[in-house]
Amino acid sequence: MSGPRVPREQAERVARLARISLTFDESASLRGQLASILRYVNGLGPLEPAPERAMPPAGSAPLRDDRVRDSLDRDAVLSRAPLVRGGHFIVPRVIR
Amino acid sequence: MTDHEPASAFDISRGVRRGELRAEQVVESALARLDASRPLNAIVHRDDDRALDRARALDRRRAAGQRPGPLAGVPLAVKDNICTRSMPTTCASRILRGYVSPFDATAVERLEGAGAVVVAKTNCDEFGMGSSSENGAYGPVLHPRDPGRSPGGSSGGSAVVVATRGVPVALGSDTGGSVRQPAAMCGVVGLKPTYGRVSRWGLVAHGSSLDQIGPITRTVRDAALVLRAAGGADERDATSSSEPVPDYVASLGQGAHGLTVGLLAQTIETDEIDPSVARATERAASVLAEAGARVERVVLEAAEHAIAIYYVIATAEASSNLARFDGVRFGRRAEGAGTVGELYEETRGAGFGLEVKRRILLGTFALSAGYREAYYKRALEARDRLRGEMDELLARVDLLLLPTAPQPAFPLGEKLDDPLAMYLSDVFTVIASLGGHPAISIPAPRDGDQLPVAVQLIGARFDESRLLGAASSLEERGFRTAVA
Repeated sequence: MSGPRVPREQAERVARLARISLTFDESASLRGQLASILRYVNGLGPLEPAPERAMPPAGSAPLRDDRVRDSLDRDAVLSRAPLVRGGHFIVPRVIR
Repeated sequence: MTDHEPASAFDISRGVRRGELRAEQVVESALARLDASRPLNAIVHRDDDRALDRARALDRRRAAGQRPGPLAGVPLAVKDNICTRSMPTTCASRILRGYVSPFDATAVERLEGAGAVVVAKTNCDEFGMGSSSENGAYGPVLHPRDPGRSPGGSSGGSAVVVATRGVPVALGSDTGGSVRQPAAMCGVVGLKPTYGRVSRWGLVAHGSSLDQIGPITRTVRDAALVLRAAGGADERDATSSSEPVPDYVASLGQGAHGLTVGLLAQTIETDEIDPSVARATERAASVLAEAGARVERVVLEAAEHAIAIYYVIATAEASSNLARFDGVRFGRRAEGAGTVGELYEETRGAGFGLEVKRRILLGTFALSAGYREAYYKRALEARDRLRGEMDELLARVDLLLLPTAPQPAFPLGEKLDDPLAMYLSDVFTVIASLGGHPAISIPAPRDGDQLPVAVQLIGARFDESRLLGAASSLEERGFRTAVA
């Protein structure tokens, strides 16, 4: 896609925040597409002073009864992970 | 399928309950029809043995004098982003390849509890992100009438298996139109219930303030039947509503008589929609008037910005929801990462497709320091204004009438490189999504080989009874799924 692109540094910053590695080609096409989407979104116009706080329309969440219930079976949950050992999820070493 | 076998869930379940049909026979022929539609790439997982076992168990229950349930023997297909214990749930994503959920979604549990039999999981856009069913790891779903076209999306596989009579009912999920738009493009009925009407437990989250599970069916009555069985409060989803679930099937007879219907004039008085869609909407207005409704033209000013609002909010929520796919607890992980940070980045980089990455990046940007006020907060406020305007309008009229999609099924690949053009195909469906209102897509009558087009009705929150009643009225007057 030709036309304006989101600056490379900004795209890299957002990809880092999102914890997504991008190939060179992906980054190039996404920078153009994001710029075009953001231009469109900017058509929303400036913020209007709003007396009420904007909230998602979830309504009021009811409280659950305070009672013991079965949770998911631990082995069933662990069996779905890509790497486990001794009842734990395994990740690369954090402390060296 | 034998010619005398009923095609609707209503007739199948009645036949099975009365002992005139065997559930096993119904499921067997559904599986054979799904075989026949294999080239359309609508199905991604099947477990025929389990489906037949369940059907036989239902037959035994009935033979033993037990009640097999209001959906007895109804073959059900489920979108691949709704959890099932019996088959994988991969959201059509590489990152979840082979993943089998340890639980069933509440909607699946309730429908199977009512006697339905899950026979297949359906193909879709990855994590429900798309409007053409081309963005998944399994490849595109093809339109039943023209394999060079998209069936719409993201629940394209669900719409296709119902349109080709593989099953009478398929579940989809609708965040910004993903049940209604593919139903429109395939010429079947698609219902997005009120936000909170159907539990989201077990629906892999995309935009949590928008997501709803909804049925795709061939008839309005089947949509009512499924909603009655699937709806209602669920303590595992705090946003599910305790509003009572009325008998939607019984209220279908109310029809459209005496209702006031607001025709959203701006949606058809534009050059940006296909003339066949505008004609179908005008025709629906006349038909509703003939059925005894009062139709007036209305305007919803805030709808002008609906797509912009939707794509900020939905992507912001998606960027947060999809943070859970990190290669640690489920799904696939990248090999050889030296640090936890690399593990996340490489797993997500390799596991997500391009559209999912695009949306996560857009959402992350909209929520990031320095931009949150300008994008996310502004979109929330604009959403509040839109909701307010819709509520005022729906206090004055009972239902809104508008097209479902601006054009019929478009060629595969046409919008893939232009995400904004793809997003604009949701221009009429995101309105009810942002408002949390129920909406239904009904196929319009068509001539000869014309591709399907559809109209949409939007109702007040939790007023599915009137919505379905008016839809039923349209259906009786020719707005129905074609026989072939």
